[in-house]
Amino acid sequence: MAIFILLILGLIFGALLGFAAIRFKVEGNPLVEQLDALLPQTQCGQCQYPGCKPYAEALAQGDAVNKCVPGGQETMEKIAELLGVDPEPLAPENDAIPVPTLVFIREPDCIGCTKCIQACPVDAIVGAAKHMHTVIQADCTGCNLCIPVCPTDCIEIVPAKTGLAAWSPTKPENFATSVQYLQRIPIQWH
Amino acid sequence: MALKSSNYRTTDNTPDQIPIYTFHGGIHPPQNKIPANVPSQHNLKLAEKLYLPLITTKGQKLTSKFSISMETPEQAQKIRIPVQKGQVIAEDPNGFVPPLHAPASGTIIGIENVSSSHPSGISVPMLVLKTSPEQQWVDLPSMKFEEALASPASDIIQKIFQAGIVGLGGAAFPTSIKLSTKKPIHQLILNGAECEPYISCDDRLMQDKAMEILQGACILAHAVSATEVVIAIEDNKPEAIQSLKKQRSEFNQTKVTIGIVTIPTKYPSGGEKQLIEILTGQQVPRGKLPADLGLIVQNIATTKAVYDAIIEGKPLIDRLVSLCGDKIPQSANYLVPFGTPVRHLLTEAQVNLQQIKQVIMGGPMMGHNLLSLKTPIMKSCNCLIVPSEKELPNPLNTLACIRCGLCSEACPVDLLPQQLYWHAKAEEWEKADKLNLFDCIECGACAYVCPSKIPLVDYYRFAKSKTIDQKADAIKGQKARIHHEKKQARLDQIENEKAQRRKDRAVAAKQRQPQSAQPEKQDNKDNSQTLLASNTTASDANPGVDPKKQAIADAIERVRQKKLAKAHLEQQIPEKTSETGETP
Repeated sequence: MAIFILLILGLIFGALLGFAAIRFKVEGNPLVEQLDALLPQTQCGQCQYPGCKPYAEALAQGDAVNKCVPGGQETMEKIAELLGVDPEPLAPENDAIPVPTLVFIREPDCIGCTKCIQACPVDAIVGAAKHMHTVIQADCTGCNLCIPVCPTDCIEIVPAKTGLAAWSPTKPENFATSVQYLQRIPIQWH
Repeated sequence: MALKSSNYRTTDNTPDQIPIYTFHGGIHPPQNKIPANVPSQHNLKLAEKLYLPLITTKGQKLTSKFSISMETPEQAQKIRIPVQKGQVIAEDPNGFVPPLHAPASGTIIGIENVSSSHPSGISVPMLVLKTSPEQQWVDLPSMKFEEALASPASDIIQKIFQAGIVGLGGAAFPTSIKLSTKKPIHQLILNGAECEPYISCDDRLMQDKAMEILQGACILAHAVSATEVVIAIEDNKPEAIQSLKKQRSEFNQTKVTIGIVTIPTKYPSGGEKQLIEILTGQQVPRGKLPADLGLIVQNIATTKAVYDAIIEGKPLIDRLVSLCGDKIPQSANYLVPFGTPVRHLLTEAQVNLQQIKQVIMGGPMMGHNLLSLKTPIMKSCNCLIVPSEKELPNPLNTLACIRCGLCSEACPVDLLPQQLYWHAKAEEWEKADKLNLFDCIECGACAYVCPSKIPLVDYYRFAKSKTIDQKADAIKGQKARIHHEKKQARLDQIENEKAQRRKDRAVAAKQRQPQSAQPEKQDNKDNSQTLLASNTTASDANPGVDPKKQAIADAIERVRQKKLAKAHLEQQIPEKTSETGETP
């Protein structure tokens, strides 16, 4: 009798588990989605993968965490934390804090070859064959993939923000060095 | 929380006797205000050159009304555009920022990059106006007070916009936008608290221009269809209260009830949300505006500017600025035309420029140091402080936080300044955001009480700026991801379509094969029998036979046929030539 009851219970729970495995199946790898969300989405390919998602997939497979150049130190540390691995130093040439940039097409020099349009990973360049192209600055991620393909070198890198928009308060360490507000440093009059 | 302080009541006529509440925290710093009996200086010598920024401190761009070409130095030197006092010289193409008017008659001699009054001191393009000795106003469309109250509200709001009026309390938010709310407004609050130490320009205005302020208040109330006006004044300004009450008794109008309410002196009771809490006991919820509670708050100086704009037709071209601090021989409120460089104002006030170390624009709690004396005075500047070393000494270096909790007791918004400080220092933006960092009004009460002299507000500004940047980056990244995925999907689709077409072509080729053999058959009638044979092999092909092998076999067969046909032709050609050879 006891064996029979256990058998029945086993069958019921087995059926439940089997049902749950199908009903609540997770499509795709949730880790990849989380990693993708951490990456800066510039789609620049500097990690040697064709976009942020492929690098996220590679990271989930155990690739090195220090390949994202635009993300810099901060992104690397977040990825390492999520994956539970030790942070790795960035390549020395990538060590500098990335300054957000955009590209700008010098329109008189553009011959309308459409090569940059094909290279742009986020469709931020508009134009047609033998017609001038231009960059939609709000959509440009600053990946610079359009620069090497341009036959006339008419694409230049410009800072993403200029003037007042580019300024932000720096981290105050104490009143004496705090430069913005209640600062007490001598002022240079001019 | 809003506690009713029952012992704080005025004992005047009814509209002045409203219950007064209080807000959490607050501080009582030394006042250091200019003595109330010092008259304001209206006869400031006009500066030789006025600098009028084409970019506001919020980063909004204005476009000049004139086409100024400065591509070559010769062109730049030739610019001479005469303007009259009060003429519109720059406008916002988006129609958000009210227009900028010439504060004086003279000539515009170009655009120059000058350090702005933004805390960063970054240079922005400014129109340079060389003032002329004779001052000539443009035509001013004046209006009687009764006419103003009879004209539609939308006209009044439009005129306020055209007059270039923004909130003169410090935030410089366009007044017309605040007034064009769709929500029903029952009460207009005039903010005469002026709670920050040193500043006394509104106090001076209430003493000197009480009638204008009362009329301006009626016009503002009419613009939002409010029937009640409450003028809130801190009890450290008895002369202002007296003056307003006297003028109110002489002011006969019945449209609105005007209450003049005395509130206890406490910093920062002049904050919009704090003042509402004092007067109504209600807190403005996060993400909501005072208009959601049926209230609208306007500054005293703004109200006076509205009076000037509607009744006298004068656009906003100057304001009262408190000039104070130990290094100023004669502290007073000066009527300063916009664009006047700080250097000119200080020189006129007999300040020894060699001896000053710093100039603070705005009050001592919320102001910032100026980086250049060329910076012009603009609409949001209510105070300039030139302190001595003794007055605002160099603070000692910051010490460690001792978790005393004085900051949370002082916070008027009831936040946790200490927690926010730790999170800002550790750069944990999400955690700071969760503790309502963005409700911080940056009043500086926490930093004032901090025994360790931690520049708390600077940390909050830093954290706010970073959080905003991070959120913007996240939105941009999300957009880039979607664009990239769509592009990838499109490329994949094109690739699939190509593959499909290739497949289709292959299938079509296979189907065409028997037919393509047909014309050959007609060409080579002699070989019809062999062709027929090959046809049958093709059509009767066993479906089990590999199509590739079949195709190769077919091709070999076709080549063989062609060779045969060629050989046949070659046989015929010699015959023909022999024939032709025979004819001659």
